[in-house]
Amino acid sequence: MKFAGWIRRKQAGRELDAELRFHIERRTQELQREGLSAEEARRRALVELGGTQQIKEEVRAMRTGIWLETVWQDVRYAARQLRKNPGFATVAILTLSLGIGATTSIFSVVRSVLLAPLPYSDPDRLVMIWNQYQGKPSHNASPDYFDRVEQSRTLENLAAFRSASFNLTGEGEPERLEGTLVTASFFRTLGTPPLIGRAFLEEEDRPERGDAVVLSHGAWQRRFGGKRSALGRSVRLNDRPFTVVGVMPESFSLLFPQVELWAPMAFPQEARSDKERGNESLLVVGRMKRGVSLRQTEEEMKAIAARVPETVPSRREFLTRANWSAEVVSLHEQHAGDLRPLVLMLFGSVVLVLLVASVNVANLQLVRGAGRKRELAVRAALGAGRGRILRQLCVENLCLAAMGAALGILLAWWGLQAVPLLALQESPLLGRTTMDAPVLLFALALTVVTGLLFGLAPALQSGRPEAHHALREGARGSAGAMRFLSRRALVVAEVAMALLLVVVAGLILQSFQRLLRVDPGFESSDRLTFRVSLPRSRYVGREQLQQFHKEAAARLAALPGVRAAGAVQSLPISGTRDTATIHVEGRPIQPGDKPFSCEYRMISPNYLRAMGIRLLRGRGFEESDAEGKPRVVL
Amino acid sequence: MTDYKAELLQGTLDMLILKTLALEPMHGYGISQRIQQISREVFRVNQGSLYPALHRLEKEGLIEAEWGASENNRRARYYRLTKAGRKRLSAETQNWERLAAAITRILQTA
Repeated sequence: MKFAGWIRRKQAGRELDAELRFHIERRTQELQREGLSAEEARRRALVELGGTQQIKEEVRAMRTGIWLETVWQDVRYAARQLRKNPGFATVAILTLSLGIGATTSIFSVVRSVLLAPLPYSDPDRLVMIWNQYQGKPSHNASPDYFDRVEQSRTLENLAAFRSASFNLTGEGEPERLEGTLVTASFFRTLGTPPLIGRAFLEEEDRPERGDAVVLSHGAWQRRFGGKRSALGRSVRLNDRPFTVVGVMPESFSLLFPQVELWAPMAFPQEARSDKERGNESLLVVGRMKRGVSLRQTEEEMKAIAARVPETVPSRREFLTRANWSAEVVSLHEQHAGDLRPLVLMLFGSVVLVLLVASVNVANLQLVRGAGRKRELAVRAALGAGRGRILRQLCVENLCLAAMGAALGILLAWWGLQAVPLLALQESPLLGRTTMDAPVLLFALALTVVTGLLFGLAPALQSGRPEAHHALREGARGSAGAMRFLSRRALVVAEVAMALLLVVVAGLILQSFQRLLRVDPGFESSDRLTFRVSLPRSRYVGREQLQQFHKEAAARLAALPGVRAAGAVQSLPISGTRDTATIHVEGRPIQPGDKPFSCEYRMISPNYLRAMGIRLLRGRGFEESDAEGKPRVVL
Repeated sequence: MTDYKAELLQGTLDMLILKTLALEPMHGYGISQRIQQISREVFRVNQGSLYPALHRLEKEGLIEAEWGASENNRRARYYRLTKAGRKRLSAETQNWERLAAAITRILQTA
């Protein structure tokens, strides 16, 4: 394509050369006949022509540029028109910038959450696999994971992982790092090779080894200054020596924004035992084989789950009653799913806002169109074609839209800073929301579409050739009825859209308010929280742990400004939870009863006071309850 | 008065070219000579602007060009009026006559 064009241009250039040479020769001959010397004749001929290079330039520019040049003329004319009408221009540009800005910023959210693929190789084949009780998802226990690894035919790779935190000690400040324990197959399953170094080897995923660690890009930069020499370095995590073997690329962290390091899961031998069933704390990610559908995988996982009650008699009754099964969710859906309706509703709303803005500007244009009729008629009388006038109006509208878009993109950029506030349900995918090239491209397309949208109707109306009517004074009424009708239609559409927007906004506000009014049962103001994990190698057994917590709570409570200090296994609504099944003494389980399962948290005596939780009846825990034989619960 | 040679009115050159080619196909040099002759040396055709104008008209489809042999058997690029060019010429002629008449009237009444 490009090459052919180049050949054509080259050819045209040669032809023009020949043409000009011919002209000069003929003129020289003629001047010679008039009596000039050959040399003088040739000089005169060249002077008359006025520089062949200049002509060639002009012809070339004309061949490519004639269209561009008139468009440029239109642009300048449009700018002049808008400057003459600063009130109209300002209102129109502000209106459009609001519409385009809102739409662009929400589009960038739509893109990051729903459209852009995950930054892993072939991400459509990645799925999360869950246990399922009564139709609700639950984590995997280690034997569930091994069942899946051993029996699955539709999955190419499986990996288990769970979060863990590490105390980093040794050189430098001691630090608490968020990490993830992963099976050796983890990086292979996601299909991302390390940025430097290597991923885990199978033999590193054994309990006697398990001493390798892979860093996130962020931790590598922060802790090791991004130096290659980090590889092979030894670090102490939870008081055990680990060797840094690799660093993952920055993009890998998208779904794991908090994670700073990965360490081998190193399942002990007991992990395969049926005793571990029900101890569910693992996340499992799988890569489907090429050509396998999510549905096929889910059916297979359900079939594998269905075999468990048969092979493990001790759990048969419980599992059947709990309607135990498995479910499979695509990795993308897992992280975007909750946000989908919210994001789509927001996007729908801002598109409506944009439409209302366009209609408003169209209305302004129609009003202005009445006043411009004479101007356009004069132009038509001076020989401007109908197409030329239409183009002029379109260029003017596009100019308006472009200025609106420029301002709108600034607004959108500013709006993006506000998006984290909107994220009631936090998704790591929101973290990658930026104004990148595709988003800007979208804004550009939006500009053209809106420019034509709000400009076309008025342009078509004022472009109608009624020159002689318009030129005569007072002949205004001819198109008036028609214009009045279309303006009425615009107003009706606008009111309808605005009403819809108000209803949607009202609904969002109401549910948000309801959310704010929920009483969680504890007070969150003036409370500070932090997390501790104690190295197992130092704190062995109940007494030592109790001693630590007792002392820590006492010392914290003694700090000036601290009213109460308490400890809990996991904070309420923080997402982590442990569950246990409760059997009430003297009440045998009837067949058909749902198991009485509940969440539980281990707490220290002062926890309730510190959190401002009121007791309905009875007493709180006391120090003596910890050592006392009868264990107590609330 | 004989020294006075008007610069061509913008856009008039196109009309003159079309008019010249309406008689017979011609090459660029011939066109410049002919325009000089029929305008009795009143207009000075800036030869530098002739060729861009020819190429522009060709691009607009009003004239077309092909290589042929000239009177003294040299290769020359001959231009010919197209159908669209003929139409444009008659429209421009009418336009011009109206304008000229209007200007004449204005000059007479004023």
